[in-house]
Amino acid sequence: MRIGVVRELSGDGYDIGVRARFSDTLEVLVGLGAEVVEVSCPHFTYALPAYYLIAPSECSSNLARFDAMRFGLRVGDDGEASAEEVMSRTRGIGFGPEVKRRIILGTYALSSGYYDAYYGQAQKVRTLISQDFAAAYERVDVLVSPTTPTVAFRLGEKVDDPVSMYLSDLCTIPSNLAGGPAMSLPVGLADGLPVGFQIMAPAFADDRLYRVGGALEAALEARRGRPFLDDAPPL
Amino acid sequence: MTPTATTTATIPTFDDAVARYEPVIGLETHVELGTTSKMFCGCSTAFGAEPNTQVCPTCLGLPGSLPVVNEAAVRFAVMIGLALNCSISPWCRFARKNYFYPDMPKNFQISQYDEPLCENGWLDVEADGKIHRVGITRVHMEEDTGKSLHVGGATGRIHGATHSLVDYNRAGIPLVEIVTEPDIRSPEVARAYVDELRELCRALTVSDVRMEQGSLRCDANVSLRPRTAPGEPAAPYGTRSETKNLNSLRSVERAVRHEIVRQATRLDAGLKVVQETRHFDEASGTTSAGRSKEEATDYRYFPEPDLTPLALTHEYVDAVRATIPELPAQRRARLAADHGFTPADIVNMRNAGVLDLVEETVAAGATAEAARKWWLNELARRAADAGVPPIGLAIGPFDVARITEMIADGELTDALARTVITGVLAGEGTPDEVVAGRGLKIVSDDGALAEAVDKVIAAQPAIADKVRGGKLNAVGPLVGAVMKAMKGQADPGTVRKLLLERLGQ
Repeated sequence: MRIGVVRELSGDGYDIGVRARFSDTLEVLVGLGAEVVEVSCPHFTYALPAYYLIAPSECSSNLARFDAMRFGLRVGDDGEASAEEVMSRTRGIGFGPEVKRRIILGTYALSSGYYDAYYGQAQKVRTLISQDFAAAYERVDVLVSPTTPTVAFRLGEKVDDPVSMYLSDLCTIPSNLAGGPAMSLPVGLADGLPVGFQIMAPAFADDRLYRVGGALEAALEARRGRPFLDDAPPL
Repeated sequence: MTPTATTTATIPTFDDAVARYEPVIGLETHVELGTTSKMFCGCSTAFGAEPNTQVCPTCLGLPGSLPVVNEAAVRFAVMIGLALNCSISPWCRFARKNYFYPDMPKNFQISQYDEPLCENGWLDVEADGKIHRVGITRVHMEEDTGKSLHVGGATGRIHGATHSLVDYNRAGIPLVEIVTEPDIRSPEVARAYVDELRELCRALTVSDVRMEQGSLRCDANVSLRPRTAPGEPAAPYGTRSETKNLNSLRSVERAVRHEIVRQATRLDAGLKVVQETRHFDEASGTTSAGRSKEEATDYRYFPEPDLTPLALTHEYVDAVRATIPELPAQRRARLAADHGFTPADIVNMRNAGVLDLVEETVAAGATAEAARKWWLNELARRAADAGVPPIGLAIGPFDVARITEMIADGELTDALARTVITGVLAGEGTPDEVVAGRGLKIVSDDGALAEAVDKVIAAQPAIADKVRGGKLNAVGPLVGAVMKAMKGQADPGTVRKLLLERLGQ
């Protein structure tokens, strides 16, 4: 089993604790007989901005059906308001701030005159990311990275800073854009919070995730002498 | 200074308008495909069901539902594209057209945008005794919207209505949109194009193309430009208006004609034509302004992420091509060559719903002329009297062919043939059985006929003398009298000959 570590999904911006658990895990894999090599996927750097154009664009269209006409919440249907006004009132009250932010972003990115610069460009980046994956899988069987750059942030902590919140998705976005399978496995704690280890495989090669993930989980449990979840604080 | 709307306008006649301005017309036609199920789900497409009984989570746009492409719809669209001489894209995609309207369940329509299924074709159209080639820009697939019913207003339009009802049975029915180049130059050709397109779809059996039921709808883009002298370059296109939802051939022609005169009136007065959508009012024959394109919605088209691209192989397209039947233009050429029918004959027979029946009657042994004459006149009239289409009559091509054969053999007169038809329609059996049962055969040269001739000559000596004196035309009333005496069962030609012989002529 050849395992590729994605160079672009490490380094600055990754918590020291996350990096430590990730290195530990690689050693466990080597101990299990895997060959670990570093792989570069240069366009992964652009995955986050591309995703935050594509996903909101699709959201803005996908969520259009929540219009109070056929199902769900209906606000302000006072017998005077037009259908458009009822749609507008319902959507104004029914959607939360993050959903509205994405709808506005996506509507803008798809607008006439901006489409090529935003949505069109993001789709090109998506193709480049798929090509990076394809090139990497020529050399290795699976790719690995931390699942997130940091451990979980506190509830409400980043509500006013959406960009820093979006950065949490940095490592998981490439697979989502390329349409390949990926798995996250808890591999230890940093600052008392769980750290995830991401395994990625080519499309239709999901079995590799289970083979690597299963072997890793068994080795980690053997080393600890108990399942990882036993250390979770009581609810 | 910009002239204002208060300028007194003189309205030119249509002929005057087209003498000075060249109309430039392009048509967008929506055809509902006659598939059993909808474009992206399994719901029925049957017309006329109770509102909202042919719906499911997908065509209602409920959260979590996903579309799946209807193969039959793709096949029908490819057939239309091939019949319109288009190239079929080896790879194309659906796109979302986003706008909010209550009759559109998802608030986007799955359509095609810059990657249509079929492009660059043409259709030859006959009008004014000439063939006009109309370029086809594209044929693309999309889903229909629901149908809104605006209640409480005087006009049935949304303006003034107290509330609206929506029937989603139509939502998701497969449509193709067929867009022409701006090649059409007259209202007659515009009408002839829609007519020819309708016949084409009918021949392909891809749609029932009933304009009054909305399964074929037409939008007309019309602009004018000044005519230039022969040899000089054409003037650039003028600003166009788009008149929506024309639902009869006559409306297409009238709306285009009205737009030509309306735009000429504005241009004559120094006013500009506004780029806008317009509605045609059947009652007044005029158009009125709808939404202005300047404030038009930005549809935010993007490739439909819920559907994979459509990649049709050469083999698939060739297999579809092999299923294309004889097209109307080919059929007209064949009917003219084989049977000598004129274009007008063919139009008349088609409009009377007897063209297929005539062909089958000829195949059953009748001459083309006899088959045409009997179906187009007597039988079409009988069908109209009975309130059924001609194909629904209880008399078929074989019966008609046999009747025309008996006429040709001198066994029946036209009058007797009509009686035979009555018998067949009344369920008395085949034409031969009716002739036998009613005793209708022509009596040609036996004693009964000779006796009748002698009696008539004896009864009408004055007329007989005129004929003897050389006035051959005077024999007419005597022929009539003999025919009456024979109860119609004689051949008028034979009767006339016998009479003239007896009278020494």
